[in-house]
Amino acid sequence: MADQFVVAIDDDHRVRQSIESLLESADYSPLVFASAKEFMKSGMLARTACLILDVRMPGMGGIELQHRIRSERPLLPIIFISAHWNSQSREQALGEGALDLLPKPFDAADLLELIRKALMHES
Amino acid sequence: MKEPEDQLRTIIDTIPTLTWAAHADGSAEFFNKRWLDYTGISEKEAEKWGWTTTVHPHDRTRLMDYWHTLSASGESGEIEARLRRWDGQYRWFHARVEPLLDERGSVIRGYGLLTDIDDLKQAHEDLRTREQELSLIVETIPALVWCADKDGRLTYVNQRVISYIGSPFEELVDCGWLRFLHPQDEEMTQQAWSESVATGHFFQARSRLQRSDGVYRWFQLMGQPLRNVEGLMVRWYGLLIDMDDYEKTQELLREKETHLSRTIRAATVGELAASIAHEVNQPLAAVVANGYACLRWLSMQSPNLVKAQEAAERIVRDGNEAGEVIQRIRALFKMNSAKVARIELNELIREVLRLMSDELTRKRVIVHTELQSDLPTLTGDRIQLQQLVLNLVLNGVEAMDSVADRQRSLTVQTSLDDSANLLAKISDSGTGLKDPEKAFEAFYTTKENGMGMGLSISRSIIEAHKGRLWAVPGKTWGTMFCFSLPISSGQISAGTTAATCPLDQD
Repeated sequence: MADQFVVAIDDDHRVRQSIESLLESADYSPLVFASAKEFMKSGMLARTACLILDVRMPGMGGIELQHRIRSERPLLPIIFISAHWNSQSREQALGEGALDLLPKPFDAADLLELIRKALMHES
Repeated sequence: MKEPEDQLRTIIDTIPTLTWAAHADGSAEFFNKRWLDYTGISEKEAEKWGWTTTVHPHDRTRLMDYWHTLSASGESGEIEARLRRWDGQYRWFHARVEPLLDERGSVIRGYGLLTDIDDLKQAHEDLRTREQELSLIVETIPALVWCADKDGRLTYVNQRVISYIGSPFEELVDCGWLRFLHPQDEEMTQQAWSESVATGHFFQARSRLQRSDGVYRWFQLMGQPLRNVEGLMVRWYGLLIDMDDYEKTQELLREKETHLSRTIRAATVGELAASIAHEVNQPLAAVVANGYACLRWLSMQSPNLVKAQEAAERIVRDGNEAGEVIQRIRALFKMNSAKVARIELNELIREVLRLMSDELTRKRVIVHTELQSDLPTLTGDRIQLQQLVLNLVLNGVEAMDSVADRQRSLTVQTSLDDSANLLAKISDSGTGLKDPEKAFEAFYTTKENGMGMGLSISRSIIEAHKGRLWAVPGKTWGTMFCFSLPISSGQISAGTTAATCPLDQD
């Protein structure tokens, strides 16, 4: 678990900062990225235990990233968070194999619970 | 006193024809003075067969043959031939020959009159040439040309019509052409034609005409009556102009326009909504997450005050940002300083209807207006009120989109509600509202593509003007939207801001 990270990707710096602090407070090792591209370039995919992903981002969006990492990490738990939420996007995300799609502002307790369950599964 | 013979001579020499007399064999006996003056030869030169030299060489044989035929038969006859004038010029003459018979019926003499028809012949030639030219023009110009008699029966079409229709003229003649009109357009076109034939008014109709391959194309039919000097109609001349490409393009443009304006509207409002959500939810999400984190930092076995403070500071910062966003959104919804002025409601309504006239015609909506005259003017923002009326009219039109079994009618009425208010009613014959109150809720819509902001915005505008807007179901069908506006009797205050923010909860 030590070398595994909970990664959050969101283009909004306020959201990034808050999630980082939240994850830290829950005793996880957080890594935050401002874009999907940054994340891919970092090469941290292999050491990601759980991914928190914003749906709408400039450049590559969350769903597209999900497709991209499918081949390498088919079972990587993904939790989507989104400022624009509708039933359609949630269905789509779940259909693509995500754990859930949480609308912003999300319940922090829900998020932490999802992460906990995801990581329990993994190990 | 002239001798009878002299008198006769005078007559013969004066009558305005060239006269001659011949023996049965054709040899000439006598020529009147005019004949001699015309030909310029003397009696001596002309007598017997000398006269034949004055006949055009090409006509000579024909003339002689004819004469022999006549003398043999003893019948009178006529022939045209060219006679040489004294100056050498040949002119056409019409010769009328009468035989003189004896008791036994044999020809003893032939008498003839020659009338100068040269000018007439020339005129005929010119006419024929002109007719040929005209015919050529009519057949060549890139238009479909037709003619009809004064009773409206088709008498001629040019080749282009035949080629287009792909049927012979016999099938078009009289009233046969009606068959080639589109069934939906036939009645209307026939009515218009009958009316024009009866009144002599310029004929115009837009109709689909079937082509030889069965395809219908839109045509503009036009006709103009030809009148004689007494002003009576003699015949009709007309054209058929292929408008199909034009019509199709117009249709396409209209569709695109509608689609575009809908898209823009949807895009604008949708984009706006999405943008608002985004702008507000981001900082709020951060605030919530920071709040939770802060609590966790504080409730640990060994509380991390530094982290907790950092989280709390971020809460304040992000919370403020969220507040600012909300302020900006409120500013967005505020209408720009309303330009308040005196407004004539009827005139405003008429203008909106004028703007909409194309759309109304296209949608086959019949508009009835019952606008009470001499309504007092009201004070308000012209653009906003136009928007209001436009929204209500558009709503009415769209409500009638699916109506096919009855007339689509839109009725606009204005009146004085009471001493202080003007009342306007816009009724449609459409499908009606299931829930009249709900219709005014923002984003409520029964329309396929509609973003239901229209009525909500309308209500905002009315409220800004201190008026009322409500909907009433129509007697048999449709809906009647009513609004009342106060006739402001106070001073006009320019620069009043009509704040119509739907987020205002107080």
